[in-house]
Amino acid sequence: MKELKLRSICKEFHSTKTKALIDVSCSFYAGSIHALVGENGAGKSTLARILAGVEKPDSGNILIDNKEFIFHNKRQAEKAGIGFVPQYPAVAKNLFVFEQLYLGHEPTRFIFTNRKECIRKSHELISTYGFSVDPLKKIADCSASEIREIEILQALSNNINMLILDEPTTVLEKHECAKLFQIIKNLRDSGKIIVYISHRVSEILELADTITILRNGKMLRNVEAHNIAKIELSKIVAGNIKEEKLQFASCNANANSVINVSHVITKEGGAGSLYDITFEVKENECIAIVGADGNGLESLENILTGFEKPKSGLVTYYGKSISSYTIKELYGNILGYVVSDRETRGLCFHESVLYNCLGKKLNTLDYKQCSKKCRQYAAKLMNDFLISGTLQAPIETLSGGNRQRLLLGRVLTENCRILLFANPFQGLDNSSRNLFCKKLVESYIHRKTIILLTNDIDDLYEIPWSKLFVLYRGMLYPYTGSSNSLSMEMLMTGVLHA
Amino acid sequence: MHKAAKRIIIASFSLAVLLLVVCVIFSKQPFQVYALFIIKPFTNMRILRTIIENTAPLILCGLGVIVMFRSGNYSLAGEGQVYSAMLGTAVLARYLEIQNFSAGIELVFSIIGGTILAGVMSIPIAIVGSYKRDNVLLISFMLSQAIVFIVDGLIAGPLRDLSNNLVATASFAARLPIISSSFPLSIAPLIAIVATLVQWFFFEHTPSGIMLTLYGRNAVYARLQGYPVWIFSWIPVIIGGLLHGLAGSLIVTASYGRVIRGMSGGIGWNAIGIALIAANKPAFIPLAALLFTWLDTMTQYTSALGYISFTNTIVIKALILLFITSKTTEFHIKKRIPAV
Repeated sequence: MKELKLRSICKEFHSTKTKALIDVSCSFYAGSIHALVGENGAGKSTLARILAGVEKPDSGNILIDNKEFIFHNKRQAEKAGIGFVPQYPAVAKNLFVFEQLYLGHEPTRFIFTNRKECIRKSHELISTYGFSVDPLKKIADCSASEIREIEILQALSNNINMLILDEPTTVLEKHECAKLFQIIKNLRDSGKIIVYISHRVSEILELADTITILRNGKMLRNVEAHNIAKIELSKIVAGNIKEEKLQFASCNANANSVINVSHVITKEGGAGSLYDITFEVKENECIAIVGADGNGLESLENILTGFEKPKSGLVTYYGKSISSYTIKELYGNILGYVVSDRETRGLCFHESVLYNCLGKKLNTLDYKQCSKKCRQYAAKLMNDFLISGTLQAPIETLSGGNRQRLLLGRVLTENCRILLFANPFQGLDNSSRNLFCKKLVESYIHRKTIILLTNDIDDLYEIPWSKLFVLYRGMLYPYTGSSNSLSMEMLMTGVLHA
Repeated sequence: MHKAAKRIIIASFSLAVLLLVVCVIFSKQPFQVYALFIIKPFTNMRILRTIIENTAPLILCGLGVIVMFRSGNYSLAGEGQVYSAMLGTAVLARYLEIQNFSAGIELVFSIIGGTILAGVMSIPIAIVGSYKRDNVLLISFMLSQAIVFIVDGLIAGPLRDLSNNLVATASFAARLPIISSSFPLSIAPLIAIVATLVQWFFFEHTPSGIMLTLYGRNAVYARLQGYPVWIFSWIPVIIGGLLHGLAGSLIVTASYGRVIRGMSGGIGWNAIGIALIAANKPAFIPLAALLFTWLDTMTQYTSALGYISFTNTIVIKALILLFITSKTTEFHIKKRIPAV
């Protein structure tokens, strides 16, 4: 494959009455990285899904080396040499890596799967492209970046010529991103077409050769990457530039203690466990805990929300042990919680946008005028937090950004005293991030206690923190540095050498 | 178009086609039999009454299935619960009759007793469900099978009426009141329609109904929203059991006045079928139930006349459910968008 052309692609989602793509045309060439950029809802993912055969366009053509193709499913696109890595990992956690790599096209002996051949081919594939994942590892034991590697390798195992990566860094940390970028550059150098989707300007400029900017489903511009500066691209994509500055706020030393975590140790040993975690959050305090994946952030989220019981130690809210609260008391009145696992815990799939908007509001409604009030509440939420879509459509028809906005909006409008945010800005573009930062600061002014758990340094900017902690290998370190702009590496080394 | 409406259209269409195929293959006068199937219920009041009367318990069972399935408890105990409620109602009614209670008291207490008995049968399933929902399917199936065997044994053994050759319990005189003497229909269909309206209102227009639906979809999500998940984990199973019990009690008290061995006749399984057709929407249950009952009643009628075999209905029902659950038969109405 030397060239792939898209001609006048249009796509409308009837359930949400959204025109996702309007007359989009562009070309992708072998040996280049082509970035698709734009804000949430710009149509990037839809275009990628059309290229990958997951969605069918309403009109328009796909031409590969001037030959027209129509893809009815993903398998047909793979046969034509197009591989797709979706935004969120889609792997079977109970499989071994080698099984996942050849899932659906396993090497066979007669009618049986040839596991030996599958392992041999997996080793060969991994070494050919310079990856480092162990094919005999269980997927459940793999880190986020290893899972990304597996997904890319799975696409490459089909002998593809074009690889589409839909926001691959969403679930990765900075150091993992650097590794991924090198892999992508190697693939480009081997003559493959890379389509890279992101709304992160710095990533685009580091990787891309050509950039296509989308806005509201239309193609805004098609530019060579070396012809455009970061500021200009930021302005085109989001209309503003983010100032990256850490802010700190003073806290009232006499305020009452709201959350008390003392000497918490989790059950399992090894990666992701917590060792003797102790911290306190006072009334109207705003604290952040930052940590790379595998350092215990997920365990801490589970401990703070009562999903996991610590092996030893105590978590108290307002002086009362978390386990002594009823579900209604804890989640209904005290804790507003934006989960990191949006798809399985944060949203109710196969149900309508309306029902998903309601959340805790249902606890306070009576049956009289329930339908009317529910609709009014949901419509206001969608309007206030710029969620596009229709109330009756299933939640899965919303884009990733819209789903995250719904999740954040729902928690910010709930009347809870403590707000816990775990990776709250995943998949959000800059303008949405700014909007929610503003709302978060408003909540803080309205005397709410806020805890942020994040693996993304960018989440720390623009909110005045009372305290900042780093979670490293299951231990909690207070950040006392004075740097206004920092990276995960700086934070880690700053802590470790303090 | 609503998913349930689509499914009813598919079910009606496939039923019409499959019936024609069955008539052509198995009957010597296919078109006459086919016409009999379609026209006879509208020209014979007795058949129409039977169809409506038999639809009522199926509606109640369908509603029972919906309340359980929407709460994420996939209980298959319906068949056993209906059967046990039938036996409980018949035994209690007979006992009250012997004790010389009035027909009204006999009727009310026997229906309540039968219904509660089925509700009690749900308790083990509810306990299992509140700890591990995944086990409900297997436990409920095994329990249902056990209940069917036990009830069969009781009817054929200690509770059998030896005054005739039927394998059945002793009969009692009390019957459900009828709505009108000109069209002798019992109040069972009325009870079924009221139950449908109540359940539709609960699921579509009350916060608890919405919360229960969301709990059924995703229990972790419901927990994080502070919904009363502990109550949702067992109450729907009990309510489902009570609805199945009410259906069983109404079958016995509407016309039969006794329980004959095997009398539940797969109603619990049919209820799962109609809940599938109605896409778990209570408002569509009466239509789906009517479709199945019409098929059953008319096949009984035509087989009595020697036209086609009753076993054909089982195949037709199975094929309809296959069509309903198959993704390929889902149709979409799409607007074409002109190229820009």
